[in-house]
Amino acid sequence: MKKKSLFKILVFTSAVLLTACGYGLKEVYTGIPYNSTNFEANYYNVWDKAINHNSGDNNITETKKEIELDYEKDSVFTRLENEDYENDYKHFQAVEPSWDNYHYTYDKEAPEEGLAYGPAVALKNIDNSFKYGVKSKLFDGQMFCNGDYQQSRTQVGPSNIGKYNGFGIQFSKECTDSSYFMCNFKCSVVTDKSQDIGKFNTDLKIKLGFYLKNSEGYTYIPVTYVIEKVPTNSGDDHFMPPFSGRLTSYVCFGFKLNDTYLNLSRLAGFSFEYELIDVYKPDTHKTFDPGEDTMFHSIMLYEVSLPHSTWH
Amino acid sequence: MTKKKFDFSTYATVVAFLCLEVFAFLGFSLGHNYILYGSLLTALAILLFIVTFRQIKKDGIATYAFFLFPIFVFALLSALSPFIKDSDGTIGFANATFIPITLLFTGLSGFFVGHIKGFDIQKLFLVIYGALGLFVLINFIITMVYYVPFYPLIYSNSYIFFEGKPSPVPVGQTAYMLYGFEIMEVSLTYWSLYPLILCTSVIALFYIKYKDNKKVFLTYLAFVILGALSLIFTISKYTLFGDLMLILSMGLLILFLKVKKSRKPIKIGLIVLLILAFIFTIIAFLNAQTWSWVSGIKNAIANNSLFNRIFNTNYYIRKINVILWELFNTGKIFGSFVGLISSTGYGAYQEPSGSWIFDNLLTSGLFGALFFIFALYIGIKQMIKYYQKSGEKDVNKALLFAYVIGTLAITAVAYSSKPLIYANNLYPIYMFTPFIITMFLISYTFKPLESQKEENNEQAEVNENEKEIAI
Repeated sequence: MKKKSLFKILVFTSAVLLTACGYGLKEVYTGIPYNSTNFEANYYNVWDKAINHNSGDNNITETKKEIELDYEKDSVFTRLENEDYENDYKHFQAVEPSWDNYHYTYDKEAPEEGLAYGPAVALKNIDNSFKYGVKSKLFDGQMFCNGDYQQSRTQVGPSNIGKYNGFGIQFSKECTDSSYFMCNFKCSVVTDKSQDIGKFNTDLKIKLGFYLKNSEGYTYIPVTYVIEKVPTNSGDDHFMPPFSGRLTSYVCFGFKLNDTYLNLSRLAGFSFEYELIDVYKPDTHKTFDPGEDTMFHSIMLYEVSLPHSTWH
Repeated sequence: MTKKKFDFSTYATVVAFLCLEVFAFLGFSLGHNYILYGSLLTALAILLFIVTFRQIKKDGIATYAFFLFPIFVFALLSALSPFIKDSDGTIGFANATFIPITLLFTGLSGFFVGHIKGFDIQKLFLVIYGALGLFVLINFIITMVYYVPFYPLIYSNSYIFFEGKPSPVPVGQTAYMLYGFEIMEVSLTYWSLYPLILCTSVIALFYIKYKDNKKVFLTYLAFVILGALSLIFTISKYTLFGDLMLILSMGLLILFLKVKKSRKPIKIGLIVLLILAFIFTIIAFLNAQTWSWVSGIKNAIANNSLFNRIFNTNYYIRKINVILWELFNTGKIFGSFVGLISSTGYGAYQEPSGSWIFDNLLTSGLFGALFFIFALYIGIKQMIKYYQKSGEKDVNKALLFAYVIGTLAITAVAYSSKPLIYANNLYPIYMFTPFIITMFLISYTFKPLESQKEENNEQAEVNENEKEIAI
């Protein structure tokens, strides 16, 4: 009988040990990363192996032809807070049914009427799985700096300069339905010798990767779009309450998903990369020359969302 | 024609069964759903009253009132305390209303159940520990799915990002729990309270002989093994106080209940422990004050490295000191203590102390805390009387002692009023389901001695009849 009892305890303990898969420990880190005064240390350059299209050792079974977004056809918008971009706002209205109710410039503080756009469309409020890990910074509804600096943004490096080439993350769930994509960012450029080199504009080519689950692995769909005149090293002085001006230093980039060539059903991974085309002075258009110093350019990505999407 | 009187007491067995179901339900904790507990226990108390009111005697009620009245005053002061409205993460007005309701009707349920003749408390213990065991098993498996064995030691300094921000405590101080109908991250200290209380069932193994009752023995053994495994796999310095208190309280209880001849040294030991705890509280209280006449004591403590560590510089005493200081320096001895998390009070954010003894000062004020201690004194006195004079089986009496003393002792050193990691919700001891069950069990011991004698006689008669049949 004693042997039997011992056997039962052993079986129970083994069963518990077998369940111990450390599912919640995948995103654990020691200390506080990406929160350093050293600019270079804050680049988020993590690629989940299965969807790393830059490496041969991945689980991508099919790569679709790169989709270059068309401004009109895909209802692209890159600015929501600039009078010069009225068409952008029309595109936003076309993809977002509740556009009239949303206030783009609010995220932490709720507007008196209507809803703050960021928190309203944040993925963390759609599915709990987006609440965990360093990447949760991208899905938490915080669209702007708000004085939280590295704690709220994800710093992404260009793919054609330096060694920090974007990031790629897998989702624990699959998207079943979505209508448009949105992300909010601004740009920054510094050198290894100075972090205060003045304001610039950046021309860049965004490259988004959507990874759809298939029976054997992933189907990779690259999507690109060139954005010009992105304010770089622009402060957030317009943003700090009371709101005195428009948020022209941020880019809200989005587009309509197309059922024919860009259907994100079974989306289970996402990557963000960009190519730096030019960094130049806004007035003289003179390209920035770091001289003998090393230049560090980055996109400060605050929010990524598939508003009103469903996941399972 | 005479009308036949309807005898509600015939339904006593049905209500007793309902009582078991309610306590099985409570065993799952249900995410501190106080309104649900309160409503269930109110309904139960009313039904129990209907089936037992003929057996209730005035003397019994008067004796019981000595326990119930201070508990009710404690509950009332807790409900009226500005702590309810001033604190961040407050339990809210609706829950506060249910503090006196829940504690009153829990107590009454226990008292009325004692008057049901056929009520078998052994079954109640199997239900309470069974539900707790299942709850612990679920929590244990969930936590192991998310983490790995011994993770509090491995990940003691590792954090996780949640909603874009680093977690407020390292992974090693958290665990996963079935919280209501959701799986949520809770503090490891709070999580471990349930396996610790489950382990108090160890006392049954000292009374039940394996050969006599294999099933019951193995059931309690399984509870103890499950509790112990949960505690071992999540061992941490944050749960150590609770573990030590479990061992100490159960060790002393077993000695006290089992050693019948030379109890004197145990009694003396207990009295010494209580005196030491009392002296500690008095010194801690004086040391926390800023009155000029205590400066001598304060200096003496500060100048001695050991005393300084005990009364000033350790993690736990710092929180206790703020509570003790606030008590008299803000004149809020009736429970209007706003120092927990307050915009106008003394501290910007004062965490609960981790002990119901000091947290009661915070949540219910000095008078509330004193009424509570007085009620416990009356309750424990009655429990001893019940142990000595009741004719019930020793194992049931020992289990009652183990559950009540174990829960109170463990929560006195390791209670976590803020169980949720990503929310500031505060749940003082009166919202903790094992504590509610404790109130029920203490009230049960107020069952009339006459009925116990009758029970004994009835039992003796049954035994006689069985013998006769056997012959």
